[in-house]
Amino acid sequence: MYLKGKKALVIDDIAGMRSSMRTTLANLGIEDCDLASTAREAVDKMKGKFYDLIVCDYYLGDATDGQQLLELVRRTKVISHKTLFIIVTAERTQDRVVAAADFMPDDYLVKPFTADVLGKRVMTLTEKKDYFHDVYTALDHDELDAALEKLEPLLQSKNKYWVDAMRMKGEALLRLGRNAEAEKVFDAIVALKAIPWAVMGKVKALKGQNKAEEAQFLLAELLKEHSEYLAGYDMLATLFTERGDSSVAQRLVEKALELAPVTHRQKRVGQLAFQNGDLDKAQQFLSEVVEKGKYSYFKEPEDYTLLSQVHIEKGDTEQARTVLDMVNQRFRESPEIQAQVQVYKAMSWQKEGKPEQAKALLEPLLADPSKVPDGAKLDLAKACFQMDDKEAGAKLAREVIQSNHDNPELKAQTVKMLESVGLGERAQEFVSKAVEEVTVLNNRGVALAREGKLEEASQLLRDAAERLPHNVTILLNTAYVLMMSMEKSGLDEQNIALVDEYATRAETLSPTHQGLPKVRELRRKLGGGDAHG
Amino acid sequence: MAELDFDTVLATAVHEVKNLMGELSLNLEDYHRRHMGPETEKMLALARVLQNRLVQILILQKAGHQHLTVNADAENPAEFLDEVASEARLMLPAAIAIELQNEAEQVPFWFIDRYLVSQVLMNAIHNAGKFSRSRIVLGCQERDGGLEFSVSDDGPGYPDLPGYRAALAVENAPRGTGLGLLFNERIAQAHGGQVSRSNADGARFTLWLPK
Repeated sequence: MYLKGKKALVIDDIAGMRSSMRTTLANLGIEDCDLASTAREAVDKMKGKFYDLIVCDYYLGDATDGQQLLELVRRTKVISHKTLFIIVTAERTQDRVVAAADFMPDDYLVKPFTADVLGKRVMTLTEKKDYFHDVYTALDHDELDAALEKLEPLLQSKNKYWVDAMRMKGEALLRLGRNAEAEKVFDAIVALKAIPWAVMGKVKALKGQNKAEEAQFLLAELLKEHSEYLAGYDMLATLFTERGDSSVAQRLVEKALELAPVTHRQKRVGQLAFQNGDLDKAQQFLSEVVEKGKYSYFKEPEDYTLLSQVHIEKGDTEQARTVLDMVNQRFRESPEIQAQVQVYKAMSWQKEGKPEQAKALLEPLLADPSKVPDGAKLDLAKACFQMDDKEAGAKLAREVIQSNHDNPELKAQTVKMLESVGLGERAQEFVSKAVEEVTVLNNRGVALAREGKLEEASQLLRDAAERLPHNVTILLNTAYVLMMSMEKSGLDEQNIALVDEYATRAETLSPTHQGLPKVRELRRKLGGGDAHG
Repeated sequence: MAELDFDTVLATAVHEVKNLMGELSLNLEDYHRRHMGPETEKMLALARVLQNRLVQILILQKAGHQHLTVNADAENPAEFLDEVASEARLMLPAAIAIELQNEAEQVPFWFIDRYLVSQVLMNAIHNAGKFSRSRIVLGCQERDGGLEFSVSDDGPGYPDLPGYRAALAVENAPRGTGLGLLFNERIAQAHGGQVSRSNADGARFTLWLPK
């Protein structure tokens, strides 16, 4: 009865398994135990209540799995870091599940297991959760610096939690963009044993320092030893995509897909196949994703818009519009998605040889392109080029690039798009120039701030932020410099409001951006206004 | 008709039997809770051994095709031993005690594949349970720069090794097929370690794992 007083949630799509798990937990002393049969139900329950323990079966039916659910609730912060999340799997498919995990659960339990074993695991893990209590509190508030501070004393003794503490430190440093330090932390683990997650941490740190080649070499070595480490294939594919080599990337993701058929990877293959002009394969994979997603909690509008683009490219324009109408039905609430749908519908009419219909759809979007998300804006630009409106097309393409000047994948995509509309070799030059403009501007602002010329830096960056309202790096740097300036010369309500506006916008655009924690941290220190968190 | 790949057929069959076994265990467990007795306990223990065996066959089958993937992570030896003992308890006759002898208390963590290593120890404990008179000792110690797990019993020992005590032999004791040992050797190998058997006032099985 050693777990008395703990609150638990059991998630399993099979009723018999749910009640059997509840009995098991009851035998361990847990009286407060809720049940959920689907991911949707589980999320609703988690939103309404704190659970000490969540036991989730890997297979949830409906094309969703426990890993996806875990990622969702951790990423959107629905559950605290203090909550124990245990995934229950069937035998040694475990290693596949483990390998797929960027977000790791606290434990995997392989079926069958006895109540005693579960009880022991939960006790052991609860002790660990208690040990890291303060670190988790900081992480729950996204206070990464505070988390690092709390970790430091725990790292002094090389006890049984040392490896966990090192891992948390490495991950926090990665999120803060302190890649060189993160590399050292993961290196210390790798020196003891080249376990996949530690090697992966090092790879991420190298990538963050623009050492793609070294990262690639390390990954290849890792995959030789751990040929089933799926996250490794995904990462390697990303490295290739960023280099603009999407056909190697496609092969890698296909390999990973063979090892474990997961929806998000199917989608990735579809996406890459589309980029590589392999339209039949793209259609095959994306159709399946859409089909599966129909009943899934995890369906995304992108699944549909990607498929519609494949249909357009193949000339099945009517089919494309049918798919797009499905998006309209299923994701009514978002004006951005609606705008996206209009772009692709216009492209379908254009392809069909009906430019008038296309124009009618595009005009309102071109009048106010702010509602169009960056991915679709690139397609809007493409549509403009196709309709011979080169000026509007170039303007939009530049906007996309300059709003995302540090996103290598989007840059590679833009080059491809420009090549496809006939810019040829000038495509790369166009993109490089657009990037350069922003980089120069940003660097000048940062340099001025470093020299202590905060007024000048603020002014320059503010202008840049007004001109590039979607560039997350600029937004965050501007917010940061504005705060530095206020730290020196006192709070200013207008500037506080501006900082909050920029930070909020940056967070909406890129919730996991590396610059965010630093800005939030300083914002909290500054006080005033309605600092969140 | 596609060519019959007996290997796949077999693996699928084992898989199915394993799942059915799991269902049977659950029912047995439930029944045992309501009608606790030595008979139900025995059945339950058997069901667990069977399940472990089936899991191991599947692991071996996979290992035959590609090299066995070891998913090592940092584990605290004391906690690990404790968990293995509590799981093993359920496979042993009530008359046989299982004792822990952890001489590696100062070792904070070791990189092992918890799942695979516990399967190895479970095999050894199950085997010891067939010959032991009253107790099994599950131990752990540092040796030659590695970590050594051991399972010792107070039975007659291994008949093919010196120090066998024929007088203590159990009549009509079930003979193993060697499958367990094969599995244990494979898992040790995959960890870069080794297994050994010896007699010292009973049978002693060890699994040595390098750093």
